[in-house]
Amino acid sequence: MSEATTPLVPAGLAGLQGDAVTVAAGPQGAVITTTPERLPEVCRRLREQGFDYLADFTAVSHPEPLRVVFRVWSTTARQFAQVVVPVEQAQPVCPTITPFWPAAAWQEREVWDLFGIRFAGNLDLRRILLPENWPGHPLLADYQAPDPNHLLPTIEPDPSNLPEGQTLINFGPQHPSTHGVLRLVVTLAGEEIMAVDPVLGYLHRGIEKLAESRTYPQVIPYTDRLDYVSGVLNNWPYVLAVESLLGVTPPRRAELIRVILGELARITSHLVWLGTFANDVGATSVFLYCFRERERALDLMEEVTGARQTISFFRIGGVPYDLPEGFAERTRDFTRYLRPRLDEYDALLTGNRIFIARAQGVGVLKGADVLPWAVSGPMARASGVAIDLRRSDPYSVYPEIDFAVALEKEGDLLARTRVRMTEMRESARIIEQALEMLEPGPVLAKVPRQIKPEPGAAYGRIESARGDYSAFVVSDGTPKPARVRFRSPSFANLQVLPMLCRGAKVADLIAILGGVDIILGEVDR
Amino acid sequence: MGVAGKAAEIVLKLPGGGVVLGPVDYVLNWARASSMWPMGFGLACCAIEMMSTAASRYDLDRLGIFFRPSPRQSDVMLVAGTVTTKMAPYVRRLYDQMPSPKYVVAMGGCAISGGPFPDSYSVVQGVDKIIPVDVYIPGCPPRPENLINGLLALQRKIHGESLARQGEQA
Repeated sequence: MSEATTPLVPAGLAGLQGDAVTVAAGPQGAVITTTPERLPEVCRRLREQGFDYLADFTAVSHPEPLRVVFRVWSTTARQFAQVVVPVEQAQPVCPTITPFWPAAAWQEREVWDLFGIRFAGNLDLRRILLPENWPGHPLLADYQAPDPNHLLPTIEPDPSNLPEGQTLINFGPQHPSTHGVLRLVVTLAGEEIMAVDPVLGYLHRGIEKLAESRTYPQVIPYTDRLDYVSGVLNNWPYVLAVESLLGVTPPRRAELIRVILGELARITSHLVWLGTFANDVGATSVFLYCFRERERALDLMEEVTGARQTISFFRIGGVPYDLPEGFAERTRDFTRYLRPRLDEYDALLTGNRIFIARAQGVGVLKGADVLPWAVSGPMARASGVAIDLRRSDPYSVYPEIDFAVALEKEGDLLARTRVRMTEMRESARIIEQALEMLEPGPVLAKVPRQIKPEPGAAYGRIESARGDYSAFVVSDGTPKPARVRFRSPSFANLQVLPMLCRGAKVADLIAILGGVDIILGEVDR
Repeated sequence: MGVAGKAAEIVLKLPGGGVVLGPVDYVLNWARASSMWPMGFGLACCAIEMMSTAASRYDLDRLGIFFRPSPRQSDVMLVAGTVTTKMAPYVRRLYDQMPSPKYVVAMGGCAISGGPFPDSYSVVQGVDKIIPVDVYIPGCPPRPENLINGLLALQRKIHGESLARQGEQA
C-alpha cells in the first residue's frame, strides 16, 4: 500500500500534539486522538493541512470506550489521518464535523441511528437507516433487539404544511425505477422539483452487527450481499483489511486472479447499469443486449467458482483454488466479443439524438462539489475529478498494469455514461494484461487455521464499480471481529441526489437517480 | 390450439349443462397459468437474478410471464430478496393491493426464512410471517433455471385449482 512511502506523522500535524490531543504514527497514517471539545480545532487544522476528503466516518462501541472514528484523506498528498474521539458512555455527544466535510451529514445521522451518539450542530439529525420509531441503537454492545417479525406502524410524510401549489409525491419504496427499495419523498411545484428527501434503510439487514458474531472468514459471504451487482469486488476491501491486520501478503498469482475476477465483476456491474439506465430513459432493447453480454461474463465466473453472482471467491491470504484449464482462452474470447458490442452501444446510445436530449446537461454535478461531498467513482470522474483508487491509492498489482483513467468534464448524465463505457473497455484491457502476467504458483498464502489477529484496527480500500469502497475492521484479539464497518460509495454518492435534482423536471428524476448508480444493498448494509 | 380444442371436446362429452364447471376451470386455469404477471418488485440480490431470468438468455416472456409495474395489474408477487422490518409493512400493503386470485413466490433464502441473516435485528424471518406463500425457491440467490422451475411449479398448482369451487366456498 502507498502509506509505506509517505511520512507517517505529517509535519503539519505534529504541532497539534498537546492539551488533550495525541498524535501517533500508524501503519495506515497518523492516528489523532482527541476529545469532543478539541475536535473542531483538530478538524480545522486537518483541513488546513489539505485533508480534503472524508474517507470514512463511523463509531466503535467495543472494546470500550465508545468512540467516534473517522478517516480523512488528502487527495493531493495522498495520505491519511485517522481521528479517534472517545465520547461519554451515558449521554454521548460530539460536535458535528459538517462545517469541515459536508459529506459527514448523512454519516452522522447513521452513527446517531446505530450508536445513539448525538452530533451537536448537525441540523438534520434524524435516523437514517432504521425507522424513526425504532427502539434503541443496535450497534451498542449491550443492545437487546426486539422481535424483527413484529411490525412497527409506518410513519408517512405529512403534506399538510406544504405551501400553496406544491405537492408531495412518494417515489418508492416500490417503484420500477428506484433500482431497489429506495424511497424518495419529492416536493413538486407543477413539474419542477423543489426538494427531494431520500428515505433509506428498506434493505438495512444489520450486516455490520452480524459480522461481530461471525468468525473472520465467515464474514466474507456477507460482503458479497452488499453490492450484489459486483459481488466479488466487495470481498476485496474486507480481505485487504484483515490481511493487513494479520500481516499476510497474498501470492502474486492470487493477486492477478483477484484482478481478473474483480474487473469481470466491474464489467458485469456496468452492463447492468447501462441496461437499466437505458431502460430508465426509454431505450428498452439496450437492457436485453447488456444482459446478453453479462451472461457471458457470468459464465466465466461460474466456471471458476460454481456461482454466478455472489461468488465469495476471495479468502484471507488469496483465493481458495486455481483457475480452471482453458479459462484464459475463454476469457480472451469474451473480451474480443465484448469490444464490438460496446461500439454498438455507443452507436445506439451515446450517438443517439433522443438519448443525448435526455442526458446532456441533466443532473450536473460540479467538479467543485465532488470532494467536499466525498463523491467517488464514475460520478466523480464524470465531473472532471481524476480520482481512481487503482491509481490514486494503488493496491494489488494495478501499478504494473497499463490502463487509462476514464475522465469527462461535463458532470452530466452523458458524461457518466461515457465514463462507464470507457471503464468497460479499460477493464477488458486490464483483464487481458493480467492473463498475460499469470505464472504458475500458489494461490493462497500460509495463514493460521484459526484467524485471530492481534488487537488493532485496519482499513482496506478499493475502487469498486461505484467508487471508494473501504472496510474498517477492529480486532480485539478474539476469532471474531469487534467491529466491521463498510464505507460504501453508493451511500456517499446518493447524498448529492437532492442537490442534482433541485430545479429539474420530475421526468428527469428517474434519469438522474439512474445516473448515480446506487445499489441499495450497500447503501443500507 | 391444442388446449382450447381439448376443452371443447370435454364440454361436448358432458351430459347436460349443469356440470360444465370442470371444463370452465380447465380453460380458466390454462389462461391464468399461461399468463402469470408478477409485480416487478426487487428487494435485494435475488432481484438481479430475477432480471437475468426475464432478460435475453432465459426469457420469461416465452412462458407468458412478464413484469407489471403496479400491484393492481399483477397476480403473482415474486418476493425477490430480504424483507426487512422497515419494508415489511409495505410488502403487506402491496399484497393487499393485488386483486385475487393471487400467488406469492418466495425467491431465495431470505424470503423463505431470513436466509443468512437469522440473528439480525431488522430482518423478517421469512416473508410467510406476513403474507401466505405458494412456492418456495431455495438458493442464495437461486439460479434462473431454479426460478423458472419454481414458476412452473406455480403453474402446476394453478392447474390443480378450481376458481368456480373457490367461489362457492366464499
